[in-house]
Amino acid sequence: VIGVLQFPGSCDERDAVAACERVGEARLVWHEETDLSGIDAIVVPGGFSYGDYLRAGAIARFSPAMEAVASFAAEGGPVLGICNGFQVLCEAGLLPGALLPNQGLRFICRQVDLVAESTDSLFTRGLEPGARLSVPIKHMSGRYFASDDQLDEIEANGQVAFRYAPGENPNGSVRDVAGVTNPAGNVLGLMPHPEHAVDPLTGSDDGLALFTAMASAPAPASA
Amino acid sequence: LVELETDDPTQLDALCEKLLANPLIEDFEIVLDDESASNGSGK
Repeated sequence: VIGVLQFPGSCDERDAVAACERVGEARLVWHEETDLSGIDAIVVPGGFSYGDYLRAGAIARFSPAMEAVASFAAEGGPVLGICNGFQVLCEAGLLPGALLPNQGLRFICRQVDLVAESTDSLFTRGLEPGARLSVPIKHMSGRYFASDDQLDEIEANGQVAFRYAPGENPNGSVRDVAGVTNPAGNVLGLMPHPEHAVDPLTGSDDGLALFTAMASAPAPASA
Repeated sequence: LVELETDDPTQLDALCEKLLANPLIEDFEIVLDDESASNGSGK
């Protein structure tokens, strides 16, 4: 069963559940829940958790459910953060870096091409290095930032899962980074929305590969 | 700018580090409002 977190202010959790249900069972996990028993993978969805007060993701990281997610991740459980979920995971320290307001200080909503880089993670195992995915973005604060030293380390560890395709960086992210993993490869965060790209009817089903890989990931130690 | 009242200003630094600021992307400066502090409600 894939658990999809729901915070006050989340707005993409139902699309995330629908995407997960294409590859298995899924259910919502309210932000006050702390018992993740029976959950095999977690999605931290997009939206505006807690109204984005202070900074996007800054309040959500302290929710009871996120304490459970941190333990789940430490045991090797797959955790996928999408857009606001990526921001939450960075604020929680489960992923390196931070997300800043877009370079143009405008909300951006459009389709972008991603290039898969590291295919070692639990989410990108089914992809060939260099594979291109067409996935939509919709965000105001999606400019990935990390220090040069941190970026060097992330790249050396193979933690860059996705970059925006050459010439397609929509928000000014450093080194075109669109998504990163933790060192173990069981936590992935990305600004683009793979859950909105699971049906050709909406223009692309390239995002489905991430959910397929996540659903077939080995169970965490405590499951 | 974040304004708040506190009975224990010594905790402000930790509060900024853990919640109010993300040290990776933000700096912070703590300014105590002496007038309020002298009335027993530091800002």
